[in-house]
Parts: sequence; C-alpha cells; structure tokens
Amino acid sequence: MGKFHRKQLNKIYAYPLPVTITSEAYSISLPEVYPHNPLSWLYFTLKYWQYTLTYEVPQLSIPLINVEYINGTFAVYDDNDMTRLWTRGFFGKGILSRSEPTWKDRTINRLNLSTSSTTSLAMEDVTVKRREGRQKFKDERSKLQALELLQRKGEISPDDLKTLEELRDNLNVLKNASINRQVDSEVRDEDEELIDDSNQLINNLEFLQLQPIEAFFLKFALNVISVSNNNLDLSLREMFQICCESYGTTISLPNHRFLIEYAVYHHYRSLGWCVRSGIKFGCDMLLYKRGPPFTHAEHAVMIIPNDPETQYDWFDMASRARVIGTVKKNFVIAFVDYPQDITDINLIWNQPGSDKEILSRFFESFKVTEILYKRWTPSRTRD
Amino acid sequence: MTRDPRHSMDTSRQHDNDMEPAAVDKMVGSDTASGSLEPPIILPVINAHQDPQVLIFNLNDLKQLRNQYGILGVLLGTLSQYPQQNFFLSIPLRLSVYEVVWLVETRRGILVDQLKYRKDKLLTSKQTGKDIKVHVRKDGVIEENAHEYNFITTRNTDKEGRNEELIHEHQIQLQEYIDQYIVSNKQLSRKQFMCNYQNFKYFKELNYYISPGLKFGGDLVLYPSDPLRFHSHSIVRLGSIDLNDIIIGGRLATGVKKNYIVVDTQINSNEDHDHESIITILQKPDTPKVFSVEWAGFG
Amino acid sequence: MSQDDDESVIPREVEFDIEDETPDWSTLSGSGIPKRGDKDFEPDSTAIQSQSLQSAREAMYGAISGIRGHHVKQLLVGVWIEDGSEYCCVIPRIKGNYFRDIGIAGPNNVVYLNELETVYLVERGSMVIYLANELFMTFLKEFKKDDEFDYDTLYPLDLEFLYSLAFGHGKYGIDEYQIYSYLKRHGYMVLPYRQFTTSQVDRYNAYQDKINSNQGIWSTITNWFGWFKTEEKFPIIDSMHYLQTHYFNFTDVFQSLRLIQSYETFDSLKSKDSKIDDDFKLTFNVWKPGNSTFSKKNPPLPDFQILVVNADKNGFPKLGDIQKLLNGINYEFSFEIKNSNGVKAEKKIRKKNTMATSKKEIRQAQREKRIQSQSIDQQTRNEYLKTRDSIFKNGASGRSIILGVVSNGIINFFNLIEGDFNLRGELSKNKLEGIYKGRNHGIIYNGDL
Repeated sequence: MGKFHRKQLNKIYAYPLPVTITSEAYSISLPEVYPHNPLSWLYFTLKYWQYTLTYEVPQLSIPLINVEYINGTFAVYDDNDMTRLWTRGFFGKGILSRSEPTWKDRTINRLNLSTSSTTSLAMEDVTVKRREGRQKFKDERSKLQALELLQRKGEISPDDLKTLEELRDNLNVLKNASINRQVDSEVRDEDEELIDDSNQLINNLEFLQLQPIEAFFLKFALNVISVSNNNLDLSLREMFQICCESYGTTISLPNHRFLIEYAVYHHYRSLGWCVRSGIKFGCDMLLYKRGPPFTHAEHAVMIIPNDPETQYDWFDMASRARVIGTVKKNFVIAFVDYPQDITDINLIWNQPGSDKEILSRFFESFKVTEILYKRWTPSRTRD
Repeated sequence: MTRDPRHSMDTSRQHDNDMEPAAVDKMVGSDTASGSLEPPIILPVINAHQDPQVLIFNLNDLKQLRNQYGILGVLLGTLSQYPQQNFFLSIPLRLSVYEVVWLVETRRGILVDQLKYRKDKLLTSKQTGKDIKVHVRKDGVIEENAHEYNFITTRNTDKEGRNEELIHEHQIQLQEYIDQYIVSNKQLSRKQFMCNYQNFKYFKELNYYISPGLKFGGDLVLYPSDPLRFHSHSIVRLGSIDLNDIIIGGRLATGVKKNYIVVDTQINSNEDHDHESIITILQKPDTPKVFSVEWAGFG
Repeated sequence: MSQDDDESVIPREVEFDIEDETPDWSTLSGSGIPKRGDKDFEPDSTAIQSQSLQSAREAMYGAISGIRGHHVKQLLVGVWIEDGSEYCCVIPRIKGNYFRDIGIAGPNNVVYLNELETVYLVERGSMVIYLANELFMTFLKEFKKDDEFDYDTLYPLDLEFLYSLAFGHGKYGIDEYQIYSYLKRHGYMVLPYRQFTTSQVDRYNAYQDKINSNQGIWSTITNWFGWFKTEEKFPIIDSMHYLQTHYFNFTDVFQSLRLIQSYETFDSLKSKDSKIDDDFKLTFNVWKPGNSTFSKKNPPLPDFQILVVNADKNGFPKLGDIQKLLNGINYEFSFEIKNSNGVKAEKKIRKKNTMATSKKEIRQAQREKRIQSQSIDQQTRNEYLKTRDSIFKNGASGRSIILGVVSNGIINFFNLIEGDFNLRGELSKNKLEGIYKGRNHGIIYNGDL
C-alpha cells in the first residue's frame, strides 16, 4: 500500500465510531498535562471548563440516523447515513456489494455516467474478470487431460499430439495472465430504466443492511440511530425484543444466542476493535485493528456460551481451525458466562430504572473469556 | 443426474433415493466381488472387555485387506529401519470401527479376543527363545535356524499358525463388539453409530477407498482407488450439519482441491433398540442422502 | 492490497503438511525423508496405472516386512512379568542410550519399564522381550549384579502378543501409545504426567496476599481513589450519556462503553472451586529433544504438557475443563523466576513462546537490520505493537496445554492457550507499561497509534 494511498485512507476513515466528539466538531483540543508540572494541571482544568461551558455537546445537534426495520432486516437508505456508518466504524453491509455499499459508484462507472475520466475497476468487477479467466483455464485443462489419457493409453493420433503440445503452452500463458483493469462499458436494455433523461442515475437501489447486534449497539450503546417499523419509532425495549426474535427462538433464558453474541460484540467494540461478521470463515466474528481497507482481520472469533448444553465435537473445531489457519488468522474461542440467577428475562423489566439502565445492569453480569486455539506440529517445535 | 458424488460439482445435488450402489470394478486387483471369498481373516481384538480395538499384525492379512477388500486402516508401528520419522510407519495396522464392522458383517473377518486366544495357545506352544535368533548374511539374506546367529529379532505374530478350535472358543460376536465399543465411547450414541456405519458402507460399496478424515476436518476422506497412487477427491462429513458447516466444509475442501460431501441416513426405528435388533438394522439397505458442496468463491 | 481480499479468495493450503497424505513408499530411501509423490487423479483402467499401483504396493509391503531386531553386540533383553493385577517389563541389564527418559531403577541396577516404554523399544527393534516363568521369577528374587539367565528357555513374545498383554488391562490404551510413540520418534522426551510443582492456586494466592498485606493502608487509599478513575465507571448506563458529556478523544469514548466483564490472566486461579468431573486429565510431560537440562530424576519444567483424547470418547472440553487443566500444569510464575534467576529467566520464558525455525531466524535478522535504521520513536512504537500483538496471539502468561486427539488411528495436535484481550491483567500491563507508560493498553484504537 503506497504512502499516498494510506494518507487518503486515514483521512476518509479518521474516526472509529459514528459519534462526533467535541474536539472534532470545533477543531479544538485539550492541552497536554505534565504530571510534575502543577501549572499544566491548572491550565488543563481551566481549558476543560471553558470548553464545556462555551460549547454545546456536538451529538445534540447531529440528527439520528434513520434505520428502518422491514421484513426482518435493519436497513439504512440515505446515502449520507450509509457513508457515515461505513466510514466511521465499518457498520453494515451494502446488499448489492461485497461489504462497502459501492453499487451506485460501480453503476455510474459502468454506464459512463460519471464526469471524471479515469475509471478503475471495483473489487466486484475484478472478480468477474478473474472468474472468466479461470473458467477458460479450466475448460482448456480438461481438454488437455482428455488428450493425456489418450496418450497414456497409446491411442493418440499425431494431430492430437500437436494439439496437446499447443494446449500445454496455452495453459501456461493463461495461468500467468493478469487481469486487464480497463472497464469495457456496455449498456444493456435493462440499464435504460436506471437512467433518466439527463443521463443521471435515477436512484440508489442499494441499502445498507445492519446485523441485529450492530443495530442494537448503535441504538443501545451509542444512541445514534432511530429505528422505525411501519413509520412507528421503536423503543429500546421493543428493539431488544425484535433483535432476540430475529434469532428465531423465543427469548426467556439469558443464554439466548442474541444476548451471548451481543455481549461479545459489545466487549470487542468497547476495546476499540472493528468487529465484522465472520460467516465467510465459518466463525462468528472477525476482529480488525482499524477496518477492512487498512489490514486484514487478524483474529477470528468463535463464540461458545458457557452452559452445560452446548457441546462441540473435534471435527467442528478442527475444520474451523483449518479454515482460519489457512487465512493466517488467530483462532479465538470466546466463552461467555451469563447471569445464572435469571430464569426468565422478561422479568428484568420489573426492575427500577430506565430501559437502558436495566439492560446495562443486565449485560454487566456477562463475562467473556478468551481461549486461543492453535494447531501444534511437533516436527516444527523440536528446537 | 450423476451417480457418483465426485462428479456432481458446482452446486449441491441430491442423489436419487432409488439409486443402486454401482459395483464397478475400478482397478485390477481390487475385486470386491463377493463370490470367491477367502477364509475369514482373524481380526485380533485388543482389550476386548473394556475398550475394544482391532489391530492387524499379520502381513498377509494386511495385504489381503488392502489388495482384495480395499481396506486401508492406519499403520501405527515404528518402521525399525527408519525409527526417527513419522511418515513411513509399519505394523500394526489399526482398523476403524466401521472397517471392522463391515469386514465382519460381510463375513470377511472374525473377531477374536486376542489376549485369551494367545494365552491358551501358549499352553501348547513349542516356541523357545532360540526361535528369534537369526543370521543376517552380508548380502542381506536372513537365515533362520542357522548354527551361528548375529541378530535377535521380534516377530509380528507367532509362527505356529491358526488354531481353529481356539479361535472358535474365543471368537467375539459382532453384537458384543459393537455394544462394548459404544459403551466405551460415550461421545457416540447407538443411533449415531448406526447412521455413521450406514454412510460408511454406502461409500465402501461404491468401491471408494476410505480413510479417517479428522486431519482434513471431516469424518472420512474418499479416494477413487488406492491412495498409494491416487489423490483424494472428497472430504465427507457424516450426520446433520448447519449452515456454518457448509461454509467451513466448502472452503476447506476447495482449499485442498477436494469437494465436500455431506451425508446422512434416516434410520426408521425407535430411539431405544433392544440388542437383538441392531444387527438387523445394520443390514437394512437404507440409502443415505448425499450432497456435494463446492465453494464457488471468488477465485 | 485490495480491500477484502482475505474474505474472498480461497487460499490454497500454505503450510502443506506432508504427514497429512498417504506416503509414496517408492520414495522411501536413504534418509527416510519423504518426497511428495506424483499421483493420479482418476483411475483410467490402463495397464500403466495398474502396474504403478502394484509396484507402489510392493514397495510398501517390502518396507514393512523388514525384520525388527538388533545385532547381538547391542543385545537388550526385557522380560514381561505378570503377577495378578501387577504387570511390567523388567530389564536385568540395561544397555544403550534409550534410558534418558525411559524406565525406573529398581534394586541391583534392575530397570522397570511401563507398558508404553516396553512396546516402544520392542517395536523399533531395540529390545527383545520374553514372557517370565517361575524359574525366572526365582532368579529375579535372588538377582545380583552379573548373574546370568538362559533366556532361550523362555517364550519369546511377538509384537501381537505383547500388545495384547500391555494394552489389555486398560491402564494405557492404543491412543496413548500412538501419541507416545509419535513424540518419541520425533525425539521428544516423554514421561507420564506428574505434577512436581506445588499447586498454582496456592502459590498465586499466597503471592497476592503478601502483596496486599505489604501495601496495607496505602492500597485501601489508592483503591478509594481508583473509584474516581474513569476506568472503573460505566457511563454508558446513563441514557442521556452522549448528549451530555464532552469527549476530546476516542479512547475516552471507548472507555465509557466498557460494560461486559472479561477475563484477565490468572483469573482462573482466583476461584477455588475445583468441583469438575475428571473427563480430562493430563497424560504426558514432554521435553524438547534439545532440552539439555533434562534429567529423569530432577526434571525441569516440561516444554509441553499433553492430554490424550479420543475423538469418539470426549467432545471438545468446556471452559471449566480447560481452566482446570491450565491450573493443573507445572508452571512457574514470573514473580518466582525473578527471585531466583533475575533477568535471565525472564528471557527464557519469552523464548518459549516463539517457535524458532531457520526461516524465522533469517527474517528476524532482516528485521533487526531494518530496526537499526529507524528512529527511536518508531522503534518504541513498533516494539509496543509487537508486544501487544504477541499477547493477543500467545496470551500473557504462556499457560497452555496440548491436546493430542486420536480419531480411528489418525493423530491431530492442538494447543489451547490462556488468552488476554483486555490487557488489564497485571502481567500484560507490566509488559506494555515498560514500553509506553500511562496509555490505556486494552483499547486498540488510540488515535495516534
């Protein structure tokens, strides 16, 4: 990754959460404190109170992000909201993209609607190219294998032998071929419906989908979204119920899968990790130090509730370990202890305090314990 | 519709229920034809009454198992010529419980309580310490009963041959073996054991060569013929699976150029089988449902 | 590097382990080091294929039909004794260098072997074994050094009979033997598991008590002040929280989100509850082949502590099982090591965690070169990040157990390690404070880093 590129990324993804803090909003910062210099303490305190009294807390004037709960999905439609959630903490997934919602940009590129002249391929386009190349390679290879069989059987004709040699050379070329990153634009019939008279994209067909744990974190922990269902705003308690139900089972015990997963998600988010779904590797979560554009995820987390019922066998673990091992990630098993004294979660609402206070006290009694799992190869640890 | 799970590639495809296991002779020398059976091989059971394990020590039996029955087992002994490596191992050959059940069920082998058998056989033995002294000539030829000896050896088995009477006396019935195996392996329920066996048998009778698959993250690994000469095509997971298993399986199998096969059998009977019925159930020709998964990925 | 390459591409196996595949026996020669054979994908009923299969089989059968034995000059004789429920192998006269980790000495220089050691030596052809008779038992009772016995009068045990005797009682099974002999073939020194240090729980709690009593009134006061530190507060509970508080950096924002409890290194030692059934028990203490301080009588701390599991007998252990196993290993705390050996010991521990291979050493040399050309700030920063990553990947304490999992004869090894992600434990804190003082280590996002 070039230095220039890195600088650009740092600028785009400068903030790790969709919360605007005081120093960002007003471009101010607090002075350094030197422990042995009492004056610096004094100055710090002075500045702190000055800022606190003169400035308004920035979140007060920032509108909540609208999230709609439709057909069991938490969806964000507004372009700016999508960008805010993606660039500040990498929340959600574009439903027409691999992760970052890029459908609109890609389509504009593809249909040459953009005014800028240089267009390069998005990840998804590169993939299409790569697949085409790969398929061609496979076709040629199977032709070659058929001829090789004839050769082994001694039934090959001189003509075929010539073809065989050609195929071999051809395959080597294909193998080393690189992808041409030029866009070839081609407007299909169905594309016409996307464009209006002034040659502009009519609207963005893509929305950002949030996992229930993400949506709940944004609402419960950060309080930066408002969630509506059929134009009715959902309360925190209603949203809690919906998230639990989205896991398919009715909620009564505190080892409900949503609660277990949320505890782990909140744990890593509060430690500053960028947490994303690990489903592509058959695990529950991936931990990124900053986020997908910067580095690969270093840790793959599998969540196991610490209860007597949950039992995994060696094949479950060995196959996960192998998949995670081949992508060079650290395999973390997160065991979750949950409050044992609660037999029916619905009863927690009888406690005093706001919904948020009740839920906070409830989640405080969850505990995450990490066990690291590694393959051991005795032939490599002899010295 | 393909009849061979190796060939159903791109998407998961279900096999016909009424499909007959193909009995194609794949290789010269791997004739599993059931017509000309040799006398049953002795399957020595070690620790028969606590944790029964079958280990083969007789080289001829090992050859017969591999060449004629396509049974691979796993070698676990030290190869004395190269005792400091773990790649080439030697006798004994450990058989998996499914290999054992298949051999006994198809009357290719009989189970013998080896400790009792050998102790009784000892009473009539004429073997002495002299019998393990040999002369190894400079050209490598080994002479037994020579006047001079320079090597002292340990045999794989005794040299006095089978004692059919004692074999009969110490034979273990298949029922007994399975019961004890299930008791000592508490992770394995009776029902699961039977399903696993049905699935194993299904692939065995399609003439695949089968190895245990834990190293590759599955239950079984299938080879189109003897793995001494052939690459494997498939990793098999037995029993029920969830979505994560499909992702994991597809990913890891495709990563080692194999496909991932999911197989399960419905056994139509009650949870609690009484002992008589197990063998009957084992022999019922249930056809498993087989799916093949391959990671389409973005490769 | 493209955006989410790691999620989309299936990497081909990078660390190809040749032991995963069925060997090509025709490559067995000289050193016994395998080569990756050239195999076919599909049977095509050609004569070429069936010939090559036949020769591959012959190569295999040829190799495994070699004799197990040794030259009479190295003659090593053991005798299998069974007396009711007691059984073992006795060697009246030992010879050879197998006994560094094998056998227990009896009177008159007689050595006794357990069943694993016995089968291992016989199987590799280094020892022959006979079955004891009454004559031999009398001889053994009155045995004095240099007494001779005519072993020709005894029945020589073949491998099959020996296995039946050794593994027919249930003390050790074939699974344990497979793991034992696998490690022995790789040159490791292996002894049955024994705890030769006193309980970790007792030592750790004694140390904590000592620290607490030393601090006395001061600790009470600092604890009091601790309450005011933001670390201890959970402002997230307040429903109006982000609408009322000014934040000047994101570390404080993350700090305010802290809600879920999480494990700190050695937490498992704090609860004295040991009421867990014994499905899982450590099986072997293992030392690396190159461990020069090893002695059978006075063994140093094991390099690995191994538990043998049969995949059909036990599922993956639960957290309680894992913690009980971790609490039960032979382990030396860093506070104990410093008292005796100072800095030297600290280094030794660190080395334990890094697996040194030649490739790694080369890379390390290159890294050191690069480091020399960096500024001090950069060096500190890199060292900090490296130390922190190492804690995420290897834990802070180095407490770990190895599981040798056997499934129908196939062996697989795993390492389970005590993890530490919040970096609030004393051990991780000390490591990181030494490099960067006063930082909130557990929070991965630190604006400037």
